Amino acid sequence: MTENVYKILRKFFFWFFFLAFIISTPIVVFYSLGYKFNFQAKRFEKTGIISIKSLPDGAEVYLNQKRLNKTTPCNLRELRPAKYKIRLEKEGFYSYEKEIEVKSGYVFPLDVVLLPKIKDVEKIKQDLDIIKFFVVEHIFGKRIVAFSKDSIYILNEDLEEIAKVSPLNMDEESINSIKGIKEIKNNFIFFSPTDIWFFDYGASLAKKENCLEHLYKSDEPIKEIFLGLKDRYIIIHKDREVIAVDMKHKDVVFKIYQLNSKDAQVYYDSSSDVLFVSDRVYPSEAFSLFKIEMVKKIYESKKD
Amino acid sequence: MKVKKIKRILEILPGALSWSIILLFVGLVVFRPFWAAILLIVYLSFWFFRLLYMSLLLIMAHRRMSLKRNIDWLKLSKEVKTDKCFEDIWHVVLYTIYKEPIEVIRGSLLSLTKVDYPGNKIIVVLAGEERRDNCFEILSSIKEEFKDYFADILITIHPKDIPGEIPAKGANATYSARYVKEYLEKNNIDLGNVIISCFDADTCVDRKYFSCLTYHFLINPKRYQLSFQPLPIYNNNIYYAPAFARVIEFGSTFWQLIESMRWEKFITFSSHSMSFKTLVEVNYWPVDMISDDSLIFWRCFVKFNGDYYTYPLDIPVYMDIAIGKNLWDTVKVQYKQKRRWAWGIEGFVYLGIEFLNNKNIPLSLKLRKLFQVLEGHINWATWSIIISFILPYILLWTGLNHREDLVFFNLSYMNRIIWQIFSFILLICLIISREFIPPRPKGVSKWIYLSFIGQWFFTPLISAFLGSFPSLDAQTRMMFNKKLKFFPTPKIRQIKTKEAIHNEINPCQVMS
Repeated sequence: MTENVYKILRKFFFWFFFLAFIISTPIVVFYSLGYKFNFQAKRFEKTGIISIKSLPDGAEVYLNQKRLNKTTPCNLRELRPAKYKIRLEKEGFYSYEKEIEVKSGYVFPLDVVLLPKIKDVEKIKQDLDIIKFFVVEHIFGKRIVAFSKDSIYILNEDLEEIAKVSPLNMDEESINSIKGIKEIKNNFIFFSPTDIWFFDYGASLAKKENCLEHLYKSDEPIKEIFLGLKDRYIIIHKDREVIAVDMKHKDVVFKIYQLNSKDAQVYYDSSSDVLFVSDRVYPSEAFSLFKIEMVKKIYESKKD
Repeated sequence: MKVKKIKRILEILPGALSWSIILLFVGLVVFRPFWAAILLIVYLSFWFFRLLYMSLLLIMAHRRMSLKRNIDWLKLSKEVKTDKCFEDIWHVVLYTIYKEPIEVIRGSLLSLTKVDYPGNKIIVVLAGEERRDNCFEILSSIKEEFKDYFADILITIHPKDIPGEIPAKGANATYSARYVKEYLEKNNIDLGNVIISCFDADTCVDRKYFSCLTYHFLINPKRYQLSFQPLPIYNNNIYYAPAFARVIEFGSTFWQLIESMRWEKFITFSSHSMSFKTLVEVNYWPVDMISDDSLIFWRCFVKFNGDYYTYPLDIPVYMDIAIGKNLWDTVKVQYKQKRRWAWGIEGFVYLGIEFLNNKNIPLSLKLRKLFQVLEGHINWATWSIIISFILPYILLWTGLNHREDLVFFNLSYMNRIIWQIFSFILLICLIISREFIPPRPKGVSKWIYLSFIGQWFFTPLISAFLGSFPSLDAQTRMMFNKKLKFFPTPKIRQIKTKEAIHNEINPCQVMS
């Protein structure tokens, strides 16, 4: 391009933008104030805006039942002063509807939080007749283990059924007495004050029978259970003693510690396989703290 | 007496107008926010079109510059047939030197040895200051180092405290140029055949600079009514400058690129070249003013009754980014340098007075030029304050007071559009700026290139704090008749040995 061409282009652009500014500025100002020319009535009309935001965004917008080609967030401009029905719809959420009065020269801000639809929760409750349920952290997300009269249901977070075990040979009283549940290598162990059961989750998925196994019956109330030594042993905190039961050979029971007080506290640290106990040692009334190396204890018990 | 009064009015006018605009906006925001919003919408609309226009100019200027770079100017200038020929032309390259380190001067002269123009047609002038200790000895050592490359190297030492002068670059350059005139006359060199280039001490020329300059000087019949403006690129110390300083100086380069497209408004800035004959006719650079680079243009403009122009050569000269000893010092140095540039508003006062005495320039041209200078400086002193402070304030106020007037809503909408265009211009700048980056020196991590991209995110912050305040400061000082001392920008470089400087790649070779 020669320099003359640059000069001509530059002048052209200058006058183009200069004229554009002169012409458009009054229009922009009038538009900003809400004025719009009504070609039918051949006069200016002052309009208003509805400014819609929703959480989450992307909701379809209906104005007076007519679907607009817009999704939130958006501005509905050039609205004459009147009452308008706004409806927002998004899949998976309850629709939102509101009547809005638009005033000329003003913005009506509509900030909406759309409520999510929860899938058929009432229906599941009615059908299953749940007596007791627990929420367990699982490697694939949270799992809900729900006990009904004759079955155990494993559900995901959306309450979709993953597995079901039935018949369940437990009476309603036993189910009600279940105190807690532990996850062990993708299976579950749950316990009541008198019993411990093992639930083979993999077997239940494969729809095998006998996936619920009774592990242990206690002669005195079970307060808490722990899993230790790489989940090989169940450490059972009973009223007066702490024992360990071998998962592979459930008849093998090791006595770990005889508790002197009913109020003794027990905590098992599975990362280091250490048992901490606070217990009273007579004749002292005070509680002392004990530390028991589990590996050593079981090794010694096996020798005995 | 009458002239003195007019001079004071002209000194007060820019500052008064800038402050009036700012106070008008502030007053409206506080007392009449509705009208402030309307005024801001008009203002944003103005900037919307102006930014679009400027981005187009920037793209065109960049294209023109790219095309000019690939031309063999030396061949063209040797072949061109006019009333003068290539062999007639002499170049005087005048470096004004104050306290710049010897490495800086050496680097500049080294770039001069690498130009494609014959060195035996170049006379180098090292214009030192008596204020510097051992100035003559330092310059003599430089002369000894480079004497074989050029026709001659002259050294002048500008005495301090000459009555009627202020300690500024213009006074030094004028003192030196007077000496050069005597030298040229003694050597029977026609002043009409001499082109003088007045460079800062850190100016490294592109290798095609003098051949391109010579060609345009030769082909132009009105060669004595033209100044020649290179494109100043601040990259000599780019790898050692803080990111924000790089952005500011890139901004100056881009502004010069945009300005170079507006021929009728384009004036000389920093390092520039012109006919020596014209320089003598206009009695050299002003010795009692700070903005010598722009005032020399206005002197010529008045002398030639408005028939004087600045021609954009589009060939770069490479200069230092103004930096300090540390980050905060760099902020101060940048602020002072920009304030000195903004002091160029004294050109408005100069023109106003000179136009009174000149009856040959048409009134319309006088008014146009006065408006051009005034408008440019007032915009400079106000735009970032309005965009970065007044506009966000009113938007914040609207939000806090739940004002649901449509006008505030649309103001916010327009603000977003302006920032989107601004981002688009930044993207163009980022793409073009890649060409201005010299090769990475040894010892500098390649990760620095990430900061060359990230630096552009500083732009809103820089434009807010270093955009308008230096200019408003300069105008306010002038309004209250306070003088500004000439601030010589410190040149800080990595200390290198003489051999290292001689061996390193000069940025000009890369750019060409």
